[in-house]
Amino acid sequence: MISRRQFLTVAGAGALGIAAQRALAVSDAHAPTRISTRDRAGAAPALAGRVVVVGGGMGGATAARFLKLWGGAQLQVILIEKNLSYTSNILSNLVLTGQKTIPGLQYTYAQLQAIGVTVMQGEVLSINAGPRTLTLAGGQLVSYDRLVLSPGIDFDLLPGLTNYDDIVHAWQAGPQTIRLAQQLQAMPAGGAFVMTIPAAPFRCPPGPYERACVVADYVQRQKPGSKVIVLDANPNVMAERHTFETAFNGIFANTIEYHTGVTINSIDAATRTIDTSIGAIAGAVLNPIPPHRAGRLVRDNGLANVGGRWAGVNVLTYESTAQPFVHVIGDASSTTQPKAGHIANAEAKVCADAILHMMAGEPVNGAPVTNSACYSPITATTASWLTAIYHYDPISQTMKTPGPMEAESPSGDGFEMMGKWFTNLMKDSFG
Amino acid sequence: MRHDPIHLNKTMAASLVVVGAFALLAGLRLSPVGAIAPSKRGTPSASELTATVYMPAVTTALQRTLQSSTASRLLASNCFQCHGTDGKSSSGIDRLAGMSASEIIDEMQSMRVEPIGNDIMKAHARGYTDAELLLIADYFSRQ
Ligand SMILES: Cc1cc2nc3c(=O)[nH]c(=O)nc-3n(C[C@H](O)[C@H](O)[C@H](O)COP(=O)(O)OP(=O)(O)OC[C@H]3O[C@@H](n4cnc5c(N)ncnc54)[C@H](O)[C@@H]3O)c2cc1C
Repeated sequence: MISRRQFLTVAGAGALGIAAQRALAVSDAHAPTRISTRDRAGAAPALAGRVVVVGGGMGGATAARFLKLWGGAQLQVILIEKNLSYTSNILSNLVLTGQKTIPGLQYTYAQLQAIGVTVMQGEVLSINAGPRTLTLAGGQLVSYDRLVLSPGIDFDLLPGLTNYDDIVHAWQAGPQTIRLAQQLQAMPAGGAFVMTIPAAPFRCPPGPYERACVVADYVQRQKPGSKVIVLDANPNVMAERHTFETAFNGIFANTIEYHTGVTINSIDAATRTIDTSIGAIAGAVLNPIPPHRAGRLVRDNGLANVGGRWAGVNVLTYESTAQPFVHVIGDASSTTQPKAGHIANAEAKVCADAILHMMAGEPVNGAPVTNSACYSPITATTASWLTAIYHYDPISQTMKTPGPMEAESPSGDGFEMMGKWFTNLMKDSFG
Repeated sequence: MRHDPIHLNKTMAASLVVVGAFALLAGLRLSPVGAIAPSKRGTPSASELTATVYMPAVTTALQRTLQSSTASRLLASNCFQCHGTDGKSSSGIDRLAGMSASEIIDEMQSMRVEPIGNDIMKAHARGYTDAELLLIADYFSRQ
């Protein structure tokens, strides 16, 4: 068995930042080791120990922040994220229309560090469940008492494509979003923007319909005569049906062509043509949104026990149903809640609260409540919203909602509220 | 006279948190949970617990919530995304930190019965039970 000291030596030899190395060393000096935490479970103060969070997106940043805010100084919280900053998917459809920029949607981890979260840049490759350690891409080992994963999603490669370099999905905000914005700008007037929507579940249920609307609004103003052709694998609009059907059949009736139940046979990047169950459809710009699955970290470590794609979890704690001491939140988990950022933030808080109780040897909250809220821009100046409140149902052991509620109509006030909501949501998640 | 099921003053709201918690722990059935209508003495009896909100199988769940010392904080954290962490908003959405419990409960209860229109808070007001509102309001009043 490798001793604690050896772990730290291995970690110190790798590419960890100085601050991270020091934090690991300090924690060792205070000796909140896994073994002692386990032995002391229930004794006060019980919250010395180490929680490692992997993935600094909407779920992971919130989990790290609230573990620290609620867990106190004794609890060591380590956030491991592969990128130096996070790019928000939320509002990234407005990069396509030139109203937002990618740098303007980026968030650093400085505020999390300021409250005492140890932030490490690195990619976690594997979870060694027995000894409760993680192996990073550089070979370093990091030990944990409890682990929270919020790695987001990966995308299937659609038939006919070898990558998403030229034909992009832009469903993970970043370089692909910029590429799609350039392609849209370069599209001649009268051209067709063809997008596809995968079968549910996909991240941000209203998101693809929102994209169809803001692109339609943009081409109506900038590229007269253009079409937005939407090929949906689903039988109907998957969220905010009233809002989107009203827009598709109303202000965008001459621009958006919406087809349901469409399957994709293959995509030809050279001719920009999609072969589908309703025939071959060519476009000046192709934007296929591929089917999703949980991030590789979840799939490669035996945690994707729901259809081989998603992590099954207990929604009282978000602990994996496949592996104890490992919690999975956000898009990678399979629950009755939508795959969305606002609710990933709420899941993170339920998970953080549960972990603190579990580490203290106390019962966890038996009646968690979460809420989802999505503001969708419909035009350059209007937005609608969708919201749902979920309560734990002990009979089905799932989170249940009497049903989502949506705005009566898109409005200018809604667009203004969207900005205020986004500011507070990102601050609540990243500090 | 307003049609609201309850109209609380600050002291009553505070005592209701305690009374509500006590009643629930004592095993009062609240399924479905609705407005807790206090009698003139401020103590709700089982017959005064009237149903206004659909909330399946919430009785035992709420009892378990109250066993958790952090229940009001966790419930209130549902408001943080829009109203700021601990209700300390920094974007022009209402600040909840330091509002009196009765103000929060009163507003939420009025919004619950108003048409939703384009106001997301009227949708949210319908999503929480009175017992939950008491815990949430208590949390923000102490920030
Ligand atoms: C166009 C669009 C619009 C959207 N609009 C909304 C909206 O209005 N409202 C809303 O609520 N949601 C919205 N969403 C959805 C929202 O962005 C996601 O649901 C949310 O980001 C999920 O959070 P997460 O933590 O699960 O994953 P992410 O936010 O994707 O974070 C995952 C993080 O994990 C890191 N990571 C992954 N694997 C590893 C590893 N092995 N090691 C280290 N780090 C790793 C990644 O680098 C990333 O930073 C939208 C999405 C899109 C695409």
